[in-house]
Amino acid sequence: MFRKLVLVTLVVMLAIPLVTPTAAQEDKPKIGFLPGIVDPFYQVMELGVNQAVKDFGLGEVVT
Amino acid sequence: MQTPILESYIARGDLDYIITAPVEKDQMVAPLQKALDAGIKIITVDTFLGDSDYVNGPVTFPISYIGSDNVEGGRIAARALVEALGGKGKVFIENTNPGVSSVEGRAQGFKEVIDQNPGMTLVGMEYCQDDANIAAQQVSAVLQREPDLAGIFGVNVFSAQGAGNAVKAAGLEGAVQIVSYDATKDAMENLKNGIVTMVLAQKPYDMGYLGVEFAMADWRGVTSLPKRVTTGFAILTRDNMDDPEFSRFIYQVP
Repeated sequence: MFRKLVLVTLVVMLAIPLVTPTAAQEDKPKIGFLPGIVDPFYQVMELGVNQAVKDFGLGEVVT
Repeated sequence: MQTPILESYIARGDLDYIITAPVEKDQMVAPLQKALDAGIKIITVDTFLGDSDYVNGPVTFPISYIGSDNVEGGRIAARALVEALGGKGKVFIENTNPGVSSVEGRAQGFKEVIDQNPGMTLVGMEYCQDDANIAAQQVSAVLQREPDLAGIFGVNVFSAQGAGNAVKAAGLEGAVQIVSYDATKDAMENLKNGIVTMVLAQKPYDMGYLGVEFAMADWRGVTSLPKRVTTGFAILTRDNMDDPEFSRFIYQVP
C-alpha cells in the first residue's frame, strides 16, 4: 500500500510540469502586430518585431 | 481597413498588447479604445492617435508612440530641395492619405520651410491613396500644368515611386529634383540614376523592435516608459549610399 502511494505521488509530481506551465513560461505577454499597409517599410518593421519576439522568447506574434 | 482585423484580434481573447500603426489618427481612437477596454494595451508605431501627446493631449491611453519626427523629416526634405534648387523654384508635394499622422507631419514640415524661402513656391499637393500608379498620374498632370516645376517631395514609398516614374516617363530626370521618403530598393535605384536627389531613410526595424521591448517592459512592471520615442533618420545621397554606415538603413526585405 505504502509503495503504491509512493509510486502514485512520484507519477503525479513528474506529470505536473507537463500540464502546468512553469512560472517563467507564464510570465510572457502575447502580442499582436497590426501595421498600416503592406509595403517594404512595414515589412522591415515586422522583421524588427519578429526579432524582438525571438530575443525575448515570446514564441510568436499575431499578425 | 484596420478595424475588422483589430476586432478579430480582440475576439481572440488572448492578446495582452497590440503594436499598431493607426491608419487614421482620429477614426482609430474608438476601435483601439475598445481593445484597451478588452484588456489589450496599445503601443503605436510610425503613426499616432490624436496629436501624439500621450501625456497631456486628447488621447493618452497608448503606452507610447515610437516613430519618426515626421515634421522634422518634412523640413529636412524641403531644405534639401531648397539647396538643390538654389533657393528658387516651384515645388509640389505628392502625398498619400489625409488624416494619417505621419504624412500630415511630413507635409507640414515641408511647407514650413518652403514658406520661409521667398524664392520657392508650393504649387500644390495631391493624395494618391498609397497607389504608385495614381501618384504617377497626378505628377504627370502637374508636370504638364507647371512646365517649369523644379522639385517634388514624395512623402512615402508609393508616392515617391509614382513621382519617380512620372519624371522618368516625361524624360525630366535631373531637370526635376525629387526628394523621397523611405529607402526602398526602388528609391535607391532612382537615387543612383539621378532621378532622386535625396532619400530619407526611417528606422522601421527599430520601431518594431522597440515596440516589443516596450511591451515586455510594461509587462514586467516598468512604469517610466517614455510616452514618445523618436527613432531618427539616415539621410542618403549619391555620395554616401554605398557607405555601409548609411546603406545599412536601406529597407532590406527578404
